[in-house]
Amino acid sequence: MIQIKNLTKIYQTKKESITALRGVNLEINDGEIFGIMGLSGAGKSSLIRCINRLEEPTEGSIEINGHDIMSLNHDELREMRKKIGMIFQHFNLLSSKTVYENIAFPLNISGVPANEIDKRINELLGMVGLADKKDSYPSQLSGGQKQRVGIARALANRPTLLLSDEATSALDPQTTAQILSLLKEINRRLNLTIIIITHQMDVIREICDRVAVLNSGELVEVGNVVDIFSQPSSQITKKFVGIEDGIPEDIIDYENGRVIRILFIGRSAREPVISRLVKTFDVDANILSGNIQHIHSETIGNLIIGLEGKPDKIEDAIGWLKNQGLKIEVLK
Amino acid sequence: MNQELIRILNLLIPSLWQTIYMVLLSTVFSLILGLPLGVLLVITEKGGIWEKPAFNNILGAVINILRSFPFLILMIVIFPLSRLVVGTTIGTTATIVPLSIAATPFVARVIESSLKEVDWGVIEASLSMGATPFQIITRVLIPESLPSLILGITLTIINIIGYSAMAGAIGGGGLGDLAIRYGYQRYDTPVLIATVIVLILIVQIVQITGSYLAKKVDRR
Ligand SMILES: Nc1ncnc2c1ncn2[C@@H]1O[C@H](COP(=O)(O)OP(=O)(O)OP(=O)(O)O)[C@@H](O)[C@H]1O
Ligand SMILES: [Mg+2]
Repeated sequence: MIQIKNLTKIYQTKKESITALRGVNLEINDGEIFGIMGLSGAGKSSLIRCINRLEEPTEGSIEINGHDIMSLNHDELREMRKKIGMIFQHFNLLSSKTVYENIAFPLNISGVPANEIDKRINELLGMVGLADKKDSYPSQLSGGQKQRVGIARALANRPTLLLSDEATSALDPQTTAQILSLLKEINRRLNLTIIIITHQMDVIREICDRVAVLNSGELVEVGNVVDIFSQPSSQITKKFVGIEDGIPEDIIDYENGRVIRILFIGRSAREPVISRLVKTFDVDANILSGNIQHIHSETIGNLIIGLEGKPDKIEDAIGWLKNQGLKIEVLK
Repeated sequence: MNQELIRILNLLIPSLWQTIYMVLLSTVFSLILGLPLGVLLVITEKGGIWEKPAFNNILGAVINILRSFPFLILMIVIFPLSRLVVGTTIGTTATIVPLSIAATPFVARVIESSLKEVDWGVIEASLSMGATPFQIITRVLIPESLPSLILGITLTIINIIGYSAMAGAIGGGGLGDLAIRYGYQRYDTPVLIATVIVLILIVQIVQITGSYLAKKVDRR
């Protein structure tokens, strides 16, 4: 488990001091895929880089499995880093070394014996599906292949934690999906904790178990991905997941009857609620906007409908909806 | 004609060997001195992998001072050192001392600028894997900048060839010395032209070989 307490990071430049993180408290469980999202400059990279001390925290503490990483000296820090893999947006492979040599790098610097290195690299090449590319140079690989090398390299020393800073941001959607499923597979197979920074909502939806939202250096929300995506509480998260407060701009002039927002989660999303409503209460339901998202195996529907008909019928209808285990918000 | 050719060759060939001897050894010594200095300039810089800003400033200043010495003056200043190292202040071997010292700060800067081309992301990735500064120097900085380093060393060799020609002034021997003694002092134009042609050829060969090697090791 990773425990981050009151983490503050201030960058001191000649002209000014920039507070990138402000008293962040966070716990990340073993074996989970934890997402961190936030706008550009929110402090995501600073946060993840404090975890392996590529950046020195200004204040606060970070414990990994009960070990305070702030108290480590240089040698201890290097030993700890060998157990924390990291992958990057621009892959950061050694251009002068082959795929094989790139993956060998962390093993070489850890002094692993040559025969073990060879065995380990072949395992890793198999795991990331690049056995046939082992003698290629990075410049001969596609972006997705480069990131696979990056992943193999990060896993070489059998880390317990993998840090990923925008690892799919330079890839096309299809390649992104492949890399994500590789990460998910690794997570399940090795029970590896993965911390993923991204500004791509799809990445969070696709593979994260829990997510934290950062805004201007402050942690504004942490929770299960399904909860955060269905019921975001902060303004910034709502913007991220595409749920706006109040009535969307384009239907503000809707004048007939009442406007309600219905949130479906899980099974309820598959039930014919609207058609039952229409039949039972003799009201017309006018779908004004809506979307359905699939997160892991959950379905989250978000629907804004206009109800037209006799006022008392409408009230009854709204009352009935509330009893269906749906989250209802009357907008107008 | 034939006799003239033999006369020129008889003068040229020993001088050519002297030049090669001086340039080769000076290159080796200036690399031995300059490479660590270049590496130090990069790693001790602010934000480098072994940050020592005060040391970096001093080193940079010393290198700049050495570089601003005109070679002829440097040679004279270094006479005592030459005597100490090789026991004499004139002759081909004695010239290697000022040549190496004159080229060292140049090498340091050339190495520095090559190493600085290495993408910081790659260095950071190595740090994240727990590499020591020494491992980063030998396994990342140098291999990653090898093409550029080879071009820099090529440039150094050509520079030293130029300096070595000047070394004739203190009786250093070599092609430059030959050109001065025969071409300039005795108006022996054929020898002068021959020396110039040989110098041009050497520089061309060095440059072409350097460019070829640099390209060959480039995997970017
Ligand atoms: N080395 C640095 N020196 C000074 N300021 C920095 C440094 N690194 C980051 N910052 C500042 O700290 C703040 C947070 O930066 P950070 O890189 O953590 O953001 P981010 O959320 O990762 O953004 P992005 O999505 O653009 O990568 C920004 O205002 C940034 O300008
Ligand atoms: Mg970032």
